[in-house]
Amino acid sequence: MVWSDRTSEFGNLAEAIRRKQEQNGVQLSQRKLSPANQKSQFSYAAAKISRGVFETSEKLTKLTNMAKNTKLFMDSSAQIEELTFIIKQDIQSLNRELSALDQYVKSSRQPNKQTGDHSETIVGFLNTKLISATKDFKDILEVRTESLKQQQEKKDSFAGYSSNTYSTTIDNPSDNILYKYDEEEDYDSSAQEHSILMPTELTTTNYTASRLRAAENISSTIHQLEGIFSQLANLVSQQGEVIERIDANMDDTLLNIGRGHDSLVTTLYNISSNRSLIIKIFLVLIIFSIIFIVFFA
Amino acid sequence: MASSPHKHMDVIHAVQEYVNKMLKEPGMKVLVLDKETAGIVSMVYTQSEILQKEVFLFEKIDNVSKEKMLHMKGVYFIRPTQENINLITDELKDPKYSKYHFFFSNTVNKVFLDDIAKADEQDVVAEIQEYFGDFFAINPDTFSLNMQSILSKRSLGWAMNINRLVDGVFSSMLALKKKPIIRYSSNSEATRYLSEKIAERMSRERDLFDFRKTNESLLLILDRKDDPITPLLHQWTYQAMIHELLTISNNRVSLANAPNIKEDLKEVVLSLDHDAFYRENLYKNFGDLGASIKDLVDQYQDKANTNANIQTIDDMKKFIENYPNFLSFSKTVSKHVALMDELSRIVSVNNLMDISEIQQELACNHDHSSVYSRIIEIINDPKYSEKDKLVVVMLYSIRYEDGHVWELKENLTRVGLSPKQISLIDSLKSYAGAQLREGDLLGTKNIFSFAKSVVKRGLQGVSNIYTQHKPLLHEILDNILKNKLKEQSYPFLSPTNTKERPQDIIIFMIGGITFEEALTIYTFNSLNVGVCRVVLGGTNVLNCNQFLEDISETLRK
Repeated sequence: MVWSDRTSEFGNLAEAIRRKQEQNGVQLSQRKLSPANQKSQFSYAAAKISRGVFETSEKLTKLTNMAKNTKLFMDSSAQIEELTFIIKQDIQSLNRELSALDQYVKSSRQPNKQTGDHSETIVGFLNTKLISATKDFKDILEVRTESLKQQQEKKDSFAGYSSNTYSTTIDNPSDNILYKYDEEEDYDSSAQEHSILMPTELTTTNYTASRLRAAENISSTIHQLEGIFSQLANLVSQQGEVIERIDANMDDTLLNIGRGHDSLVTTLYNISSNRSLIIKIFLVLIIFSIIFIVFFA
Repeated sequence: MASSPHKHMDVIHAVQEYVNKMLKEPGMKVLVLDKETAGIVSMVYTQSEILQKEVFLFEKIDNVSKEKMLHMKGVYFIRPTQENINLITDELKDPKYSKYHFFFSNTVNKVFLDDIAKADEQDVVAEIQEYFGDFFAINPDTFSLNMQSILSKRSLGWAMNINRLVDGVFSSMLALKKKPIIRYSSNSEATRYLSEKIAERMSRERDLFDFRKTNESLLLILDRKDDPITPLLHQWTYQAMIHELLTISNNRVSLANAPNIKEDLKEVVLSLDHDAFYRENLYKNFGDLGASIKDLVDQYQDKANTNANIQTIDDMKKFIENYPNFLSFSKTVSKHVALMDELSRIVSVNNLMDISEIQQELACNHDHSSVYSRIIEIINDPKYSEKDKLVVVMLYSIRYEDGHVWELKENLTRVGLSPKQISLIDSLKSYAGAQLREGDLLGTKNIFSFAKSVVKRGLQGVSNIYTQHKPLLHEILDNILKNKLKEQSYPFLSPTNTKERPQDIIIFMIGGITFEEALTIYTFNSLNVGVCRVVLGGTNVLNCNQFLEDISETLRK
């Protein structure tokens, strides 16, 4: 009777398909976890982080869209700032969790070496995912900075023009004064105009100040991100070390197997030679005992 | 399984083991089967036995009721066909049961697996296994694939069913845990084709055959056309007779055509596991069978008498304890008596004794003049049935291919047989004429064997003229046992240098087997316990009617 179990193959397939769907951005229906299928603490944490990374990357795409769509008069800088803040928080917390997980893996006693390796690989995988997300974030921020700069330039050029108009309007009333001095109403109106213009100027300065703040914010975020990057880079280099170690281990194993084989062969040789020796000894013993019995007993 | 010697190379046991393993999972289960696996399971297990394994419901896979049963587990035993996979994927999108355990009766290809994985959105598939019970186990040493009309490559069913054929043979090898070398009958296109397909499949599924090498084993693929005589002969052993006259299909026999039959005996089940009398008398001939039935009835009378006199409380207790046994016993008795009654009725109505005598004469002897005049007599005698006359002429046409077949056909037309019936004689010739046959069916191909058979008959005489015929399989088995099976006639598919005699042999016959051959296998196995063990398989179990029908199918190209 022969049978073959294809469940594991099926499991792999299903997993692969699921991953593909995830990459395509298909939101998975909330999967029920039966109590029989309880995962370990580690896999729960890993799944959580992975989900976090996924959500963050979704937010990132939203942010990208916003940052790219920003027009001069349709500015959503408040939203962008908020989102940036959230993402920054997310990435920080994810990073914290990831390092905690890494610590956990390193500190906790794994049932065997393979599980340990497996966990490490998972941590590494999550690391790379997080890094790519962070990188995206950084890119977006740079884009944002760029667009802000451009806007600033534009605004400056506009502002230049508006200051011109302003000076003309400043000049105008004097003309008016010169020209139509006695026409009170007109003067009033121009004075009014003047008074209206003053707040506009104020708001413009306000606006630039906020821009500045945003830019500063962004640069500080980038700075923090740099910190995160270096941390992650550290982790990745550790991973690389592990991988190298695995490679070295493989070589060692190969060597050991070869040695084992050699020693087995020598043992076989020894045994076979010993066998003849034992037979000889017994022969001698038997002959001796026969001689003893026959002649001396 | 190989561990227990008497279960070794036992197809019924193999399928039972598979079913056991399937139903091992604790909890409430629904067993879902398709049309074929339902037959496969019912051949080896009774419903009540399966119910004991916490199976609460049987379902056909094509049942479309959508009643949710989330407290049940679905255990599927199905063939890996496209239809079934489609049904499964539909089902998985809206699951009825809490968990799904899939057991396929053959290898599942990657594409199917992929489809199921895609459909399994809710993560309800618990396992997918391949259990190679893809055949109908009839006797411990006989199995069939229940496929009709595939006598040769020219038959209608061939192209459509070749995959099923390969699946069936392939699964039988795995169920018996054998990795045999393959031989085939050299004069047949079909056997060569099938053996190549199987070898291809074996090399593709190499991993499955990765078990500890057991005994030397052989898969011998034969063609029905090498021995067209056996399915035409009338049979006299119990199982063969029932099949010949009443037709056994999936262990069931219909007695609906018998006169004055009781309602509950219209369809009877003949199971080897649950009917000791049937098991013991499977291979007994009609005469001995009469005696066994008489014993059985006597036993029954004894029991009935002891039951009749109840005096003390103790007796009552005993009676109550024994009553269920007694009841089932009485059922068995009435079943077999009814069967015997019907068999003997058919035998006497059709004068099958006479027919069988001439059939045996034709099958075994070479004495033209006396046989010919006897055939003429039979044809002209209205008390014999048309079919029997036709069969006798067909046997004559096999034995004396250059004889007076034409005159006999004339005679048949004159007594009223239709041209269609008579054309069967030609179909038989074009299917299994002397030129097309492999092996020495009639013992006339060389003078030496001819002389041997004559001398043997002269010296030993014949014990029973109705059962003197031995199928060609008998000779093949003898040669295998002596390790003298000719390589020209039965070549190896791939050149091998093993000259050892195989110990485990699977013989598969394209076109179908007969119960006479099953008997041959049984006798061979019981004579050679510990030396050699044979399992016989065929596309179908033939009786005369089925064979004639299949032959007429070959005519339509």
